[in-house]
Amino acid sequence: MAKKLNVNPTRMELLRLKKRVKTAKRGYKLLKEKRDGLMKQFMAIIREAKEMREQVEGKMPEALKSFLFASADMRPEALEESLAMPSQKVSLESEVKNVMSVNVPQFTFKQEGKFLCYSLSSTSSQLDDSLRTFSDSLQDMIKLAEIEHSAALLAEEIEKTRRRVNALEYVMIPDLETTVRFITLKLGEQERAGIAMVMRVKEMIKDN
Amino acid sequence: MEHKIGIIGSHEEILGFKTLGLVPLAVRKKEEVIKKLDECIEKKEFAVIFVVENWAEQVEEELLERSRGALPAVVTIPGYAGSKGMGEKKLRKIVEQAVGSDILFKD
Repeated sequence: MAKKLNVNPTRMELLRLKKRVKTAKRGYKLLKEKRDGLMKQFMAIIREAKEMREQVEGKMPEALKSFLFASADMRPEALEESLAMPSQKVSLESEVKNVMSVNVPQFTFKQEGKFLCYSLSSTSSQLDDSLRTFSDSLQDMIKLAEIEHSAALLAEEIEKTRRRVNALEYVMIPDLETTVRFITLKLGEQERAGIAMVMRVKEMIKDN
Repeated sequence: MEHKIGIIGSHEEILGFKTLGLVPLAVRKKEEVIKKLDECIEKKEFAVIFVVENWAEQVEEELLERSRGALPAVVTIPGYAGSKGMGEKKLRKIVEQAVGSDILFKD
């Protein structure tokens, strides 16, 4: 049930409230559009995020497992030694894109050089395999990071916007409209009372 | 802007990623995960921080709290034990937050 706001029933207040109703309605429309726009963006990426997630989750454990086996094969120091000087460089350019007032990251990812930076004779071949899988899936992982994080940020904004839209639709606008109606009625009543009074006074004067 | 990629996990798990040019951040205790993460965020050098699932599991709430901004993106990756469904859980949570009901994993 819409509540009447606690204001004085004056003409000035009425004008002020009418203006507020108009603003609220415009804001409501804009926010609704924003919500729909965000939702569209969100829907576009969430499925992709799910696919990426599945892809990464499928590949990673295997690679990690073979890496563990490889490291079990070798002496820890030898492993440490062979991996001590990485020859591959990654560069990650990140930009922040603004999607409907949400800042989402965008990554451009480049890999340079080969990951094979160790002696092939002193290391297990499983190490090569696992590192190759790591290297291959890194691109996917970055992509996943980008999409998943964007989705999370968008979801948060959608929730916020939806709350605002609902607050405007179900609380603010009805309240304002009830108050406007109340003031209009009250002012009409006052006017009628005034007319009745004048008529009565006129009668009294005539009688005398 | 150029950024680094970090990976948090136990030493053996993340050693391999060092070769690929990621910055390994080895941890041994739960508290260290949060500490390292905070350090990374503080420095603003990292765009992506991967956290291995078994560690992420223990500090789930802290992770969520710390990934509110555009950067860095904190993402969990499965450990050698296989996926524990944390990624799926997070996605489900995201969908529920945005849509109101789970439309992705319904089946």
